[in-house]
Amino acid sequence: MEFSVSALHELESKVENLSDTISAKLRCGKLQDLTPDLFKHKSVTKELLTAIVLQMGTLICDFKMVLRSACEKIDEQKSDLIQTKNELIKCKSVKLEAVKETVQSEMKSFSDVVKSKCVSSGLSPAKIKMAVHSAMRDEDRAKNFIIFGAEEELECEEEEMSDKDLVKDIFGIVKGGDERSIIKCERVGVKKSTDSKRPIKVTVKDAETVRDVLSKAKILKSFQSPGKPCDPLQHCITDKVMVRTVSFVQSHTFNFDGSLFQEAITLADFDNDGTNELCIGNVAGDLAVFKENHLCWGAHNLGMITCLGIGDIKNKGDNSLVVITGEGLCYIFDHDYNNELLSSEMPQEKSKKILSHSHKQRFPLNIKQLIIADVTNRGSNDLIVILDTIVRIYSWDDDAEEKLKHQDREMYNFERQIDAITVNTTRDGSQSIFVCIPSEGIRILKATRTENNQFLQWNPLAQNVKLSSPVTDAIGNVRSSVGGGDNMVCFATLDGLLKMYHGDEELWSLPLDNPIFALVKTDIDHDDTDEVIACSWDGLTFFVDHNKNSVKFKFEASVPIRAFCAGQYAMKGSNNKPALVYVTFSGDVVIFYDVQLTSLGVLTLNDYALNMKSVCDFENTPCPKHRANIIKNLLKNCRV
Amino acid sequence: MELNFYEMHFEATEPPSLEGNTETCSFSLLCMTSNGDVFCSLNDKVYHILWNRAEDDLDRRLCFTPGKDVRTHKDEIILLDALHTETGTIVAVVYYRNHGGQYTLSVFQLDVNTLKIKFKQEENLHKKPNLVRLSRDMYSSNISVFATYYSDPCVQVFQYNYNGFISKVEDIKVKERYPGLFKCMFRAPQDKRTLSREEHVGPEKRHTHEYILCIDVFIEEDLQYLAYGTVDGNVHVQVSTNKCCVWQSVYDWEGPISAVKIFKIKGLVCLIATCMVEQVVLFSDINSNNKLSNRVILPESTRFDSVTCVNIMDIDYDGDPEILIGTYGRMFIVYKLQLSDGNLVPYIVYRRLYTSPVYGICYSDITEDGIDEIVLLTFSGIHVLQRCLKSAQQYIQKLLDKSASGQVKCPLQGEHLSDNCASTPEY
Repeated sequence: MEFSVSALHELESKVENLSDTISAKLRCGKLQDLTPDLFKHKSVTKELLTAIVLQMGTLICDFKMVLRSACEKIDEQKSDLIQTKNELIKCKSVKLEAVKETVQSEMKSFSDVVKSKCVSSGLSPAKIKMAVHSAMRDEDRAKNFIIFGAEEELECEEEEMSDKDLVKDIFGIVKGGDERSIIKCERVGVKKSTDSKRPIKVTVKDAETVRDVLSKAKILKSFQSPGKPCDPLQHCITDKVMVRTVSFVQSHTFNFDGSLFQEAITLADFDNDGTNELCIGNVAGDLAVFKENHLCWGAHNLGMITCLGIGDIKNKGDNSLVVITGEGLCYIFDHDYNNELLSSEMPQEKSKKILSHSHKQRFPLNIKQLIIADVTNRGSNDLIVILDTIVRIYSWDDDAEEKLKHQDREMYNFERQIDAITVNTTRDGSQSIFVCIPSEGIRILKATRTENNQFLQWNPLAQNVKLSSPVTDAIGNVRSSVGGGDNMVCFATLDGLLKMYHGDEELWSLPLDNPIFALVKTDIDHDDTDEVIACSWDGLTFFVDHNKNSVKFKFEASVPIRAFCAGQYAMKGSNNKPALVYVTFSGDVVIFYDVQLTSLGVLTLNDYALNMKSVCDFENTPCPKHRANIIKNLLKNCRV
Repeated sequence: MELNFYEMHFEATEPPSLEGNTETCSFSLLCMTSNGDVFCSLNDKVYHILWNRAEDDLDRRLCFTPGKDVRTHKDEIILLDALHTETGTIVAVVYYRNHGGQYTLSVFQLDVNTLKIKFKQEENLHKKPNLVRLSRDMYSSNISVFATYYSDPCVQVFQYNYNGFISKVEDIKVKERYPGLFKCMFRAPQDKRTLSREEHVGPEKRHTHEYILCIDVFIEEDLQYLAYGTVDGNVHVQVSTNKCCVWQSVYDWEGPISAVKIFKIKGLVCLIATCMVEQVVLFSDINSNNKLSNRVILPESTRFDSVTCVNIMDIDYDGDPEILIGTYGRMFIVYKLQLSDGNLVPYIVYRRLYTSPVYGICYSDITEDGIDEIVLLTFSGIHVLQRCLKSAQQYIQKLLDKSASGQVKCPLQGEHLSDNCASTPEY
């Protein structure tokens, strides 16, 4: 049906006309004429309404058509857009690959640079590996990788610890890395069936390492995602490492000029009175024995003293002083009041007496270390010396002309220079000599008895311990409470490690971070076990017990340390007390006497309070805070 | 208890950096509150010294926990004091701003458990101060901060209202509270003679300035004792009540006074004053009519150079405090006081030599095991002295036995005890 706006207007005008006529008729008051007009008006209005409705219907139809076509167009455009999008994504991923490759190559070169630098700066490759690893993991999986180091421990905790590969990776990195910087890597925490997210604890050497690792991780992270920097340091407790440090005060300084060897100083009982003296000899041939706070005995022009030792070499129950010079002379001094002459040349040192030797014998040249010990189990002491590549054992024979007798059988020639030797006796009485040879490690000589049970033989190739770094000093017969109370052997290596061995089995290794040149043992905390005392050139001294508890002491000196010795010393009429002796390059011999440590680990009263008994369930109080409060109140309110 | 100490820990200070201001010394400072919290400034950070609360028992180390936000980069802490109040610990720090060369006094409340700072108030000081001392005001809930200066013979007293938060009290009525100090603040040099004087020592000296080197406030019931020592060697004591000054007195001495301390022993109020020219004088029973005339020089206090610090503590748990002094001659000495014929007689019970001059003595249970340690500040660092634990254990066992046999009444499981336990957070 055709319908136009003009028709509509026509109808409208008709309606208007009609309504005009109706209103005019109304005004005239001719109501009877009104009815047909009204009917006419009604029909016209009806016509108009029908036309409108029809028109509306067509309009809606048209509109639907338009909509449909528009939808079709939109769909077309949409598919086009999707195609473009896919193309774009493809391009993007290709580009991303390229970016990733460049980043990885950059990282590689970076880590190479760091690695090459770390060789000089002492930074271990493992740290870098670790850092790369953490950075990669973090970015790849976009999940929480928490690193927090509590002082010297670096703990890694991941949300998804069920991933075994990751654990393996960390283990591999740590195991394959430099053992200097990462000590241990292990799973910690209680294993639960429901929870596999146990953290991995990586124990590293110090907080510096932690910080290094973390800072490297940080750098690499910013390499990978510049938009989303993540600071691993915020999870790291960057407290300074607090190794327990102590200070000792009571000291006395002797003057002793001249250069001296590390082996030419000892603390032992020379005059057989039960208290120890300090014996020291220099390369100018001066020998001095200090007793209490003064120089007591001396000798001059002996030659270049390379090593000395005090022990019952004559096997008569009295100690003798054995002095060996580089020129190949061995002097034996005995404390004998009859032989002593008052020094006339130095009137200011009136108390000093000149010693004269009781025996003098020619020895091989270049002996650098001596040990007086019963290594052959004959019940008598022997003198073990090392020269260049040879270990020789001498024994005292009163009847012979050359009283220190050497048997060819007891000489062991090694192919390389010997660094140090030490003697160890196990609980069952078997003896071994540990010979430290650079690049070969430690050779252990063990005494074995022959068939008739009279002679002992040494098997130089009995056992061997490989070490990565040359040994600077070794100490045996370290009494300990571990390993059934057996004696231990301790080595200090050139790269700053302290290694404790039980036989040929390594118990632990402790990085001391400092080049150690002297190792001594003594019982400093009166617990009947020995502590190893290690000293570095700058005066840093470490006390380490067999449980790896360590205490640090810094000897404040303006000049480096030339020689170090520790042991027991008696000052001013007291008994033997632990003492430390430092010889500086300025000719001072500083002895710290009465060095006291209650224990190497720190104890609190709670450790002691555990065995206190009381009626009021004091010993059953588990809360240390509560115990402390009880003690506080007791001390405040009660008097003995 | 037997006085036998071992060194438990030594924390060395870093050598002062060259970047620092040469005018101020970046030296460590040590102070403690009555509650036993020890604060020190090491390497320009304020530390609260306490035992490492790590759960791992084997890893016991001293942990110096830095109080955060105390100082910004390159500011040097030059003075430090702390005060324990019922609602928290108040710390006052004076630091030198390298930018601008300004000395700033910062007073804040520190939550000791979390080391969070609340309600910090800062004040710029007009000159370089040589002393800042926190004290509780006897008559109000205010806190007084005394500040004295190197080149200005006056004492500034800042008062802070403290009702859970710190706010500065605008109207400081120093004159009413501390009339002695007020005089000192505004008195012209020639007016000094008008003060009552106990006696003259040595030849007549020309007093040009009265720079105050040390202040101590001791509050007992309704009396407030204020003692201060000056660079000219005068020890001033002023005792006042809420309303008026009861008495004041001056003791004229030979050298600058490095420390004063008022304490009470066996019912007698005593004053100890240390002089930089090697002497420690104990004025006993200053509240009697004799005032400052009843005095005795501590034995051997003249032997070890200038006496730098003094503290009063009961370290042998016999109920009476001991006198602990540290000297520039590297000696740390403990005196006990014995009452004979009404006079206090000091004698030495313990001494220990150090490698460098002693500058501060504190005494606190930092291992949180119920028995106190001595914290000593020397030029080279902070030393922690621990008792011989074996003898301590024996002593406590004796106390336990006594309390068990009913000879001594001891609140082992008292109410306040459990309250204490509950109020301290569990670690």
